[in-house]
Amino acid sequence: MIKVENLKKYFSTGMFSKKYVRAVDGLSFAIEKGETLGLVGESGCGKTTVGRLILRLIEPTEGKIFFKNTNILELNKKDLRKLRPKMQIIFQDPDSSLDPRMKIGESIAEPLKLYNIVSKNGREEKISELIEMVGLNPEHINRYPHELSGGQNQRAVIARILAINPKFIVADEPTSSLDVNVQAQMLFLLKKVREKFGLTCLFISHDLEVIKVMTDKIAVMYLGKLVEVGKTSDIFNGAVHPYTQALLSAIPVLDPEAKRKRIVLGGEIPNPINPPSGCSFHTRCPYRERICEIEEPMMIDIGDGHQVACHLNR
Amino acid sequence: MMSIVQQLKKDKIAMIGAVIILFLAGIAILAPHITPYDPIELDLENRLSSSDVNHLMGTDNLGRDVLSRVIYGARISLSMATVVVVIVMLLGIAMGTIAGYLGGIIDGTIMRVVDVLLAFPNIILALVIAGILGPSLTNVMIALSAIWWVGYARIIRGSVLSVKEKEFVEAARAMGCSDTHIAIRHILPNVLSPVIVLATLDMGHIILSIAALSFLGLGAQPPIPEWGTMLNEGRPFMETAPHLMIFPGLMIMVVVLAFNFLGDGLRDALDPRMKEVMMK
Amino acid sequence: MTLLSIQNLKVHFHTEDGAVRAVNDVDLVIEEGETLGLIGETGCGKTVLGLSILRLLSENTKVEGKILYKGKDLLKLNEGEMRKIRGKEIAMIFQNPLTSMNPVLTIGTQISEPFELHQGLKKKDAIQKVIAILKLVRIPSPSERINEYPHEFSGGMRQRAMIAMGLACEPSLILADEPTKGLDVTIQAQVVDLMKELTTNSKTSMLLITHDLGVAAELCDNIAVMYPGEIVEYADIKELFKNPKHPYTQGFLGSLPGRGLKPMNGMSPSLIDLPEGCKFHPRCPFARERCKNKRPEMVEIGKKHFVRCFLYD
Repeated sequence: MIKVENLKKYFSTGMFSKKYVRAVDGLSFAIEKGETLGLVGESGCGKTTVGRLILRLIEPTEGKIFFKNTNILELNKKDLRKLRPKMQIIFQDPDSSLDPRMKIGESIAEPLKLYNIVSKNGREEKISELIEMVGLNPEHINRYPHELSGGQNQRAVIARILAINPKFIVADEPTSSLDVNVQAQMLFLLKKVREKFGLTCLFISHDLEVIKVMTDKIAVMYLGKLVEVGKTSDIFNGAVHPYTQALLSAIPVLDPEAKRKRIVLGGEIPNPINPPSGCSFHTRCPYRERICEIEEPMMIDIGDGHQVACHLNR
Repeated sequence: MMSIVQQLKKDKIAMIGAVIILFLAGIAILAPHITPYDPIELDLENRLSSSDVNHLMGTDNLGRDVLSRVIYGARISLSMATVVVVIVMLLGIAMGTIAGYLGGIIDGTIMRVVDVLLAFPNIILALVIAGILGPSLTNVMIALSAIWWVGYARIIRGSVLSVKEKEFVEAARAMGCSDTHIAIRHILPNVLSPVIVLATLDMGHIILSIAALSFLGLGAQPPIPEWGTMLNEGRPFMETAPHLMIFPGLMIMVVVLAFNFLGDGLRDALDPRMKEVMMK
Repeated sequence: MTLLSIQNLKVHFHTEDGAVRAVNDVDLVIEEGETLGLIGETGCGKTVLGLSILRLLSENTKVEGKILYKGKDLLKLNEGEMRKIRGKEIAMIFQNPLTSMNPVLTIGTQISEPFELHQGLKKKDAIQKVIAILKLVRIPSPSERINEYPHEFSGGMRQRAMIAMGLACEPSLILADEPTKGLDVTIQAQVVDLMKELTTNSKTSMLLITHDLGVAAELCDNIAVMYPGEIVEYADIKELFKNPKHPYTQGFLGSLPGRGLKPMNGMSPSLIDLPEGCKFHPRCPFARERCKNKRPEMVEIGKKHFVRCFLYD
């Protein structure tokens, strides 16, 4: 369904500066139809940029992005617009994802009008149907986004997206600004609509617990590069890359009696303007060797689609 | 929108401004029916008479009724200023939106023009243009419109740049909306509030500028009862018949103050921080 | 020994939308050396409760009840006496270090302030202490870092500097309001580890205000669960996780991704518009008639395990 090859995005740091922020630096992955891929990483690792790149909301520096065998980077403006409704995005901040001057009903009606999905008479009915599907009340149709809670706005965003029947959805930290229970409601809803509409998803999050329940496959990102890709169960049961291991061990355990060894990483995430030589993780890696500082590790398949980029696993 | 009106109602000074403006607009519209005399009719018998029962504001050097002229002056000033404000708003909004939304070279070009125009005081530029075009009310309007839009363009561009980055605009793009649709349907409604405030404040400034240019002889020509022209005509008689300058001068002051009161009130009502508090 | 005892605390204030009943009849006790977790969702009044202890709420707020700190009622102290308590006896760690720090002062100046203020140290000695304390919170090369401004620090370092500020005068009680919110997991792990070390190695007590049960599980001895305006359950941390009694606590735990991801119905009520009777009854699967009219009292159902629910009457 989605295939990304050697995707790169460098942001220049200033008009006259020759320095670049390597936000995304040579990413390759694929998402099968009906599958959900989780993209995990800490803030500043470039995961949000990846989501925007795949929908071509920003232009990549290099690479190929295939949506069902069409390279969307080769499409002209008109063809791209035709393809747009098939690929949608849910943003992190629900309160700014809706036009503050439009009522919820108007926001949902917009794509219906744009693509003439239902006749004018059927529109209201369709809106009610969508509103109900995402768990909002009919009274919300005539409200403005600022009158609703974050969770309710996120539901409205989902209703609006479902209105145009997308095939692929990028969910960019869709629940990270929500309370635990509202997050649970939202994830529940996402699972429901994913099943009902047979959606393929890219689920971007820093929250591994959410990723664990929402995804089939995981790609772990560090400083613009993937360090490990694999089935969700494989990663949680046997992460190979030291960074993935550290991420997993950093999840607060909900059992106060549990005794466990935590790998606490020292130091901070390096500046992507000036990434470390060799393996970009070597500055924080507890197992680093000399080669890690010199040579960049390649992505190797260690079986069953489980890939890892680490010198320790040659 | 309702909350803004309610907010305004609490603001006494803004309400005073609004009442004055409504009153002046009323007499401007009804001018032909309420003026006691024809504003340009000469009455050489009754020259330079001071206030009395027949002429509440006295008469001028040609015996014309000052009250009638002042009322017609309101008609001219308000209508001309409205036309200029509408033109500069449309021009400014269009330029600002184009510059902010498209960015790049277009943005650079428009904004350099704006910077150049902003570098000179408005009134000087208007003087130059009106001087080249020749003295007439229409030319004053053209001159003012040609330079006044830059402030709007600049404000709109700034707001467009910030709204453009909002997720709902990105969502609209992802949905496949065209650029024009996004600009008109999503961006414009979200950037208009500061423009409304600026336009209200500018009504006062533009009335003042028109009067100033007319006073200098570049605008309305006698016998048109424009306030600035009236001031100019009354100048030689400042000592013997001060009412010739006092009344038009007072009118200019009152109108400008009224628009400033209302504009300030609107700004407070639309202030995003205030709104934030109200929403929570 | 009891360090802080909150009795019958009520905090109400007015906004444009109406009267906010943020805290209603809250009783809490913090022992010396104890870390108490105050758990609740956004808008349940937990931050207001924290701020009311230091009397940092605005003038028009109505605060009733007693907040006994070492036997003294903080609500009866005058502003001068209160200032001596703030920072020196009770310190606060805020949730957003970037806005809680003064952007135009260097880190060193900000942290040395309490030393000069409360301990009367000279600038030079104070700076020495700051370096020592930054070392304690593991800021690399602190003697150079003290001359930097807050924006030059990364998020994790700022939070650690915030903690250093809180610890500066060795307070008896730390109020930590969401100290790990917005931090990346690996950085959060660093901060949690640091706080754990600091609270277990000293007699310092802490009130940890958070919505994150994972963080609470690592740091707290006891937990008080807050549901708009009131405490609905209080227990030992192990007991609470093993044996949650209040339907809200059960639902809250169950909605976590690691514990089944079963969401509760509806939303928490707003503090402006609280329901009658038990505040949870509109969402409670076990609600009966009397839950709608009568507010349940706290009952002790086990050793140090209290629940505000008619199910255990």
